[in-house]
Amino acid sequence: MVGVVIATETFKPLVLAQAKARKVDPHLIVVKHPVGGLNAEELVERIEAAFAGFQQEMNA
Amino acid sequence: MSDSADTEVLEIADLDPEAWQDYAEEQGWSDGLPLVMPTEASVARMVAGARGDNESFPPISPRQVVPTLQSLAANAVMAGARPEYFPSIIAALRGVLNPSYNLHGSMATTHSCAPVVMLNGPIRLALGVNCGTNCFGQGWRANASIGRALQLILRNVGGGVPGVMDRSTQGSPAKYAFCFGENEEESPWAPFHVRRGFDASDSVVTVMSGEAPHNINDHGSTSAEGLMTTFAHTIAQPGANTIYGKGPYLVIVGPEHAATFARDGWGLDKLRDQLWERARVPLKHISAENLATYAATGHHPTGDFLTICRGPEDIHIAMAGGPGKHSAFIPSFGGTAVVSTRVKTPAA
Repeated sequence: MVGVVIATETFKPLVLAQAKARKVDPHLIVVKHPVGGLNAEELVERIEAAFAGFQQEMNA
Repeated sequence: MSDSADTEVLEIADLDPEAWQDYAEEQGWSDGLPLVMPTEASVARMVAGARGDNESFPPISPRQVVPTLQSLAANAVMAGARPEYFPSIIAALRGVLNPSYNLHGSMATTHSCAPVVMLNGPIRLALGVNCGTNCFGQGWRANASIGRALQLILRNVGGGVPGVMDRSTQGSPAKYAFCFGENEEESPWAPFHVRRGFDASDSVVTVMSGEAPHNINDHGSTSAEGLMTTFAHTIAQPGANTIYGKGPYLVIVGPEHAATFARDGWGLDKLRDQLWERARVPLKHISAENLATYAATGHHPTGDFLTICRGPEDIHIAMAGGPGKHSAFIPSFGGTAVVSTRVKTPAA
């Protein structure tokens, strides 16, 4: 089973820093910031990017 | 607990005060204010202030580093603390390291929370902790340096560096230092720590991950009922984390307001229960989008309101401050707890 972490580009450094602190190497999918506060139309791009990244991880 | 094993001692050339500040800033150790230069002698004096406390520390989030006593002492020195403050600083650190405090979440969040530190018991007077006029403000070395030392430890040992591991959207002045004492001497109520099961003779540090204090001004009400109307509606805010995170609040009643509550026969239980019943946010003050989001995560209205916390037990009341018709409330981060830890002094 493969687990993935989805983060926005703004919070990517935080995710990497915390992953380093915990000595893990996450499968990271990065989407544009922000995610919160978007309407449905705006959110579509983020969902598509996340799903594409997820498919890529699954097929890797 | 060891104060020597695995401790890195940095050899720094003799620096004048300005060069030291520049050096410390370059190392990333500063909160923006000048730091006292730690020397082997000053760190040793600080460590000696904690003799009698042999309990080991868990790793400090977010960097997951197990601290040595010397590393903590060095940060206490840099904060300007006296050695006799060190046991209280350690107690505060033990409090934020309690899993229920949720240090990791409170450090990495975009919320503005900072560790709120309240002291109770004899150590307040012994250290000169301000519990009265301007107790949340500037002017008292114990308040300023105990709060600051904890912050520097979380930054320099724990790794809570702003913009890296600390992702607060706006931060807060409380992130420099937020430490005060309960005004037990003028309170009509039992001291906070005694109500939490400690002896009156114990010295206790209580911590909560909270916002900077919000003022409650009421110069006009002359009754407990009138004050409660102001308190409840001031505290009931739709923009608080706890409206969906649900977590504790500190309500710090000023001495004149406390006297009015006591004169009208309002004990702490009644005050807390009335706040729980009346400090609620009307649904008309909350956007439809937010209501939908809250509902999706299991936070449903109670009648025509949303509650500000999970129950009366989440409302923690203490008394502090000096003359004047002001009180304060401190909303928490949400997923956190109010944690009290007994101070272990060298003589204890």
